[in-house]
Amino acid sequence: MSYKFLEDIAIADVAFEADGKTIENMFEQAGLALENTMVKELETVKTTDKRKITAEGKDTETLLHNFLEELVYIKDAELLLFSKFSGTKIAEKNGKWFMETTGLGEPLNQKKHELLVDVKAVSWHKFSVSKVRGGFKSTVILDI
Amino acid sequence: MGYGWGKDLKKPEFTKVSDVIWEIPTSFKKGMNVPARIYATKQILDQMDLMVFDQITNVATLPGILKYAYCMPDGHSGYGFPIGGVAAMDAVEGVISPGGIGFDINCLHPDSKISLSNGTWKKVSDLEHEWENKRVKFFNIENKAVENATPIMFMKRMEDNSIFEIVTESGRKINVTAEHPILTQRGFIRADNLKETDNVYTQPFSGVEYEKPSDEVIVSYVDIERILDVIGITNSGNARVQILNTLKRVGLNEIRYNSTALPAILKIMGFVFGDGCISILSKIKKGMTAFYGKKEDLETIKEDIKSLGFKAQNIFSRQRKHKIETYYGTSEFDFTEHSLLKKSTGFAALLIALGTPHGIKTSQPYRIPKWIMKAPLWQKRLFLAAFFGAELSSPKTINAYNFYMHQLNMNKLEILKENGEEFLNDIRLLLSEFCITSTYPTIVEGNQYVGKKGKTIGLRICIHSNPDNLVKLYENVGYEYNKEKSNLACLAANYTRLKESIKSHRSDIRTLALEMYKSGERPRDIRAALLQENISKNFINHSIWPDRSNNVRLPAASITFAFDEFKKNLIGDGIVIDKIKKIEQHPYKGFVYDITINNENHNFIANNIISHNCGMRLVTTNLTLKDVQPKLKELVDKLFQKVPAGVGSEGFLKLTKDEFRKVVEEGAEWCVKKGYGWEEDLQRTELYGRCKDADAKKISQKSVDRGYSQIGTLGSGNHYLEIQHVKPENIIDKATAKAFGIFPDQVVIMFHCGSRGFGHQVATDYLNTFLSVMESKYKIKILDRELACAPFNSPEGQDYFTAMKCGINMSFANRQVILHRIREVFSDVFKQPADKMGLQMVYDVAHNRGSLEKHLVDGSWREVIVHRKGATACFGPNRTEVPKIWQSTGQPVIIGGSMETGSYLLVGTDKAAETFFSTAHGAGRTMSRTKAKGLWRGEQLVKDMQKKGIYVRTVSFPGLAEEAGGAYKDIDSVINAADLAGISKKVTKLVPIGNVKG
Repeated sequence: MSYKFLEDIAIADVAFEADGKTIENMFEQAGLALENTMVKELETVKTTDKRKITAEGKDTETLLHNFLEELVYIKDAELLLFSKFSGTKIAEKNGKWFMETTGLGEPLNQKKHELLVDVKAVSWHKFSVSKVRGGFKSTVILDI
Repeated sequence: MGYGWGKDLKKPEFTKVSDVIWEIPTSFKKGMNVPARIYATKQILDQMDLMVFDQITNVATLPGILKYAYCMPDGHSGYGFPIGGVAAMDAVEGVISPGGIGFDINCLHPDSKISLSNGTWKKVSDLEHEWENKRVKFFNIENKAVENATPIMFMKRMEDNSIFEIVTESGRKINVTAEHPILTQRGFIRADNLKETDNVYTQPFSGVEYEKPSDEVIVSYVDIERILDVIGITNSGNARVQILNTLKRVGLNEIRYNSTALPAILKIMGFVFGDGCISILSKIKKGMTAFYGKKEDLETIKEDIKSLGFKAQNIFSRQRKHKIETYYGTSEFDFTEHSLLKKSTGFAALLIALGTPHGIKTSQPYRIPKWIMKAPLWQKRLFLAAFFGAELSSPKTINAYNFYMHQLNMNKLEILKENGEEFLNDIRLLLSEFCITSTYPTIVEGNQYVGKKGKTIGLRICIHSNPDNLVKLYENVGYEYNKEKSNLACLAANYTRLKESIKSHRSDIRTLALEMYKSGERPRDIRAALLQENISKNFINHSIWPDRSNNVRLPAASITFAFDEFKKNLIGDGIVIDKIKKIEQHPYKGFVYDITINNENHNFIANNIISHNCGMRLVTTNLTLKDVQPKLKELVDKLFQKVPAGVGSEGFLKLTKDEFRKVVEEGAEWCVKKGYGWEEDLQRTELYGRCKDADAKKISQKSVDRGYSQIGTLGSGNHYLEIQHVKPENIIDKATAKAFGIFPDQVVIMFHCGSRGFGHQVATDYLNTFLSVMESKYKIKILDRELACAPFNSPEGQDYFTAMKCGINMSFANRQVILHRIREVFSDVFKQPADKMGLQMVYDVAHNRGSLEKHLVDGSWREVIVHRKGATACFGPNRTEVPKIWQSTGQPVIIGGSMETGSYLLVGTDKAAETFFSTAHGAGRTMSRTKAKGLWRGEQLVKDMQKKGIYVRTVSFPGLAEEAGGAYKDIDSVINAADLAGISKKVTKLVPIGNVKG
């Protein structure tokens, strides 16, 4: 399970690919990739604060999109950054997808964290979640 | 569906329009409504990434787009729209643009039957010359009902590849091209992406082929007058003239086979023949028509009466106690009777003139009117189906699996027995025209009683219950004015078909088993080979040994579902889920057809592009380079402190969330009122700093949470604040420069920022709304989810337009507060009041917005929604969009280049009308941020820029590296292209000396 930033996909924005053995792993990696877009070293974000994060969607793509949008919202509205997600659960019920996870991190601090660029939104452009050999993969473009 | 990575993007063949305009024809991509035009020099065009062309041609497929999809010289790929993309959508009702509203029925085989209004259908290929005056049915997913819409476009094209044949379990078949979307439980899925387990939505009812009726008169004015005579309406008190005038007013004083009112009249008559009653109250000489039924069905009748031009009365409900003596005993029950009364003598007289019985039907003779017996089949169906809605029994099963014969009962005075039989034989004759068989009329034992008028008997005919007969009844006739029976008929049609297809499969297996046995295979092997769902071991044994019964009927025990259980497949009125059985791709060469329907609105606002609302503001000073140079470092350092930038930056203004709502409604006006700016700043801002009619009720709490602490902050990415120098040799248009307050050697301030997280949250919220209604409610098909849109005149489109205005106001307010901070810093550093140093705004212009403007299109003025995504408005002189003070010069156009190379001030021109007054907004990136970060290091860049005389402060070195000059196109050639094309004219170039970077 990992994520990597892509060079030749989005010119004005930041694109990444995240994967994981399970869909939960992949979601966590995508969440970390989003945080890493804003903070250079995720290790500098201590895990002193815990926040429960939930999302839902009509399919796994919408679910991941909504989860990432929620992280962007929390960054602006609560100034919280995360460096770890734990207890992630994803399930389908009556044709709808739900996720819950606990984000571990701390309040954003320009002096302490080396900040990169601000993520303004998660784009739908070329957004994808797919099942691949050995797990799940997602491709995401962040609006900078 | 089409959201893939597009690795195989092809470079378009450009048609050269001029040295700086290149056109991509609509033949480049299926679905393009207009050509795309790229404004660029050959050199810039070659530098553009292929995705730009893919995206701008996607934009060209948006419904309602006018003239061209434009891409400005700074164009580079974005998401959905390219950055530098401009599109104008028609906003005037009634002006139909190709593509109007998405594709509903898309590329079908010529033989496909299209369901039309009034229970008719027509082959799509036959519609080619008569689609315009038809009403096409569609399924409204929101209220789960089948509704009618007017087609606005008909397309025919040659397909020379293949076609997909999709067959459902109940045996329905459709042939469509690969990209044709089919509605399934997973949503609309392209034919080539369907799976064999998908459940598709079917409308089992198909009706009758439409046939053009003649203009033969059925009932004339004279006939109606004669009826008035018969029912004793004289002209005392002017009654007769009034009645005739009423009928004349609504155009019903003469009825022909091709009268538009006839379909509704036929249904109303059919129902009155069953559960209705026309009474003429002889004392007061007034006529009245009553309908009895379920409330929901009476509502439908009421709508039809209204459609005839009559006022409709209310539906009455009353509790009734009922006692019926039947053959089986006395039955007593309470029920609520609903009735609809239409008090209109004219209406009653018309129905009577057309042959509807009035008074008590049991005690008088009547037949089905002769004119109905010779009407086109689809008109006969309307009458029959409405009569059945009232009178025919509903589909009911005997043993949970097989259906009873349908019964049609009527009571008649014994002396009218013969007439009753004649009437029922009329019905049988009509049924036979639909190839539906029925029993001869019989007297129903036990249904007789003696009333005031004499002995009454019961008569009955039954519709045979063999599957083929029933399917014809359900699919071709059905029920009108009875939703419950009509839904049951749709279910029963699919259920019966499904059973039949299992039966025919069993018959095939039986034959196969016998052949295998005869060719010497062992029974054990045969069983192993053939055992499957609905084929049991016993069934195979029975098949092999010929002495056993040869019945392939489904034994009750072997059916896995009963009709009651099957009922769950009804998912909307008349719509039943059906599983796909097989999908086959066949080679196909020939025409395929498209119909595009319109639900009222056809104007669109494409979402993604409109709300980010960043913009540029240029501020002049009366300071020269000599004045500023010694204090430059201090100035930049203080600006860096006072104008927060970067991730998570918060402004100095602490607002409550309620106050923030006021800000987004009032824009820069709010700031000036609170002391953050000068009155004249508003005179120098687009829209005078306030986008009117912004309504905070249309924005979410989340957007407020994200935005309320961000006023007065720059943000990050390509947002910046620069101190720039007007080199004397860089002034190109001296007169205009002077008018704008520019002089040689001057120092000016330019900054670029938007509505921050707020605008993005607004966009995200509505993007989600649009994605959920776009396909389902508005039938809009897009090539990229970032192009999610809704008709401009829809509730969703209008809500977004209102919310987007809040975003624009937030960005005006944000830049106004920043200007205020800049003035504070300048007074602090130079120890004098800001107004003494000039610090006058030139202009503030947004470059991501959707705006309702009036443009001259093909010679007439039209309201259009111009989407400028990373493009700047550039109105010429004397346009109302330009603030008063710039009326004579034209609008100042501020275009920011990269932080190393410089920026430009231009002016709007008349010629820009050709691009809906839009031009470039920046230099345009040539490489991704990730790539730029790999090529440059922020720390080194700061040093290099210092050498060039540019002092930079940034919150993020990697963020700075992403903005390196080398990651952008050459600003000079971008501006030259815009200038050459004439869509804006150069005034002066501005070079940076200080920079605060987010």
